[in-house]
Amino acid sequence: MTETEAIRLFKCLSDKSRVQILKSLAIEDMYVERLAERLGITAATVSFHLKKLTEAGAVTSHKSQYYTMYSLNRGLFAVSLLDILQEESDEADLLAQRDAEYRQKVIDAFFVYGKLKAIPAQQKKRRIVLEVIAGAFEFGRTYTEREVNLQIADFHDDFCTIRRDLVTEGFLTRDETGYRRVMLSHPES
Amino acid sequence: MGTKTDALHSYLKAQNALYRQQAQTLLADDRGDESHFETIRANIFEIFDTVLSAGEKACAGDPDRIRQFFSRKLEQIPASWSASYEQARQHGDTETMQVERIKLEAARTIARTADQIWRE
Repeated sequence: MTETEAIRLFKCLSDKSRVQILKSLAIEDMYVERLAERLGITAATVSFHLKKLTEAGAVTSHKSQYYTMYSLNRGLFAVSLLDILQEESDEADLLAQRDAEYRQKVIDAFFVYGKLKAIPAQQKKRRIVLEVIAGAFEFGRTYTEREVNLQIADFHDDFCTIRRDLVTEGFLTRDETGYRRVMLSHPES
Repeated sequence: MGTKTDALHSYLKAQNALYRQQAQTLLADDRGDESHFETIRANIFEIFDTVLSAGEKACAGDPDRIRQFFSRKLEQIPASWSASYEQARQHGDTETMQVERIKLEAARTIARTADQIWRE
């Protein structure tokens, strides 16, 4: 388990309702309504907690007839706390992790369900956003300007500005045949 | 009507206080997310208490106009919450769904109670 995974799990566990859900699942697999009845909270609230527990890897689910049954991930809880504390994290990994977290934060702030809310003014954030949009283009394929515009329009209405920025920032190249995605020599951070 | 508006203010303030108290209790019981949900619920009662005050001011105390103003806001304001809930549902975003559901439930409760008070 990585440090990030461990922190996510501990954060998730620091809630009495979630601990009680896990205690119930330690007895047997259960579905949402059964857990809600048992714990005296609404089914919607149980679903919310189960989503968090699933994301943290503490719980898994499977279909059984009409119900989605939830199970305790016993493998995860078999790991000792000492094992987690003894997990080494080198500086390079930490830096990469911080960069990835920053990148994700920017993406979360600027994209809502895959749509770009606004074009960032700050250069670093703008590059991250452009890199996400560039990801929609295939390597080795030549796109017409219309195809590029359509692809960008899926993210934001101002496709002219973004198309120009993609070229200026080196994510796309343009010649008389059309536009192509550029393979970057180093991964963006 | 003055007393009916007062009754509605009292109800909204009481519910606001009640859910804030519940949020405190849940927080003390290490149920942070559920406490947050109750705070959201309390905020909705507070918002509509403010809306009612705004209605009284805007309608210069005219009972019918205040009632119409408040009923209109009870339809207008939650409309964006419904849209947000639907968008979250399509994307499987359980957390947003839960928040929007709570806001919509609170708005529906307020609408029912306001209707009762005005019909009495």
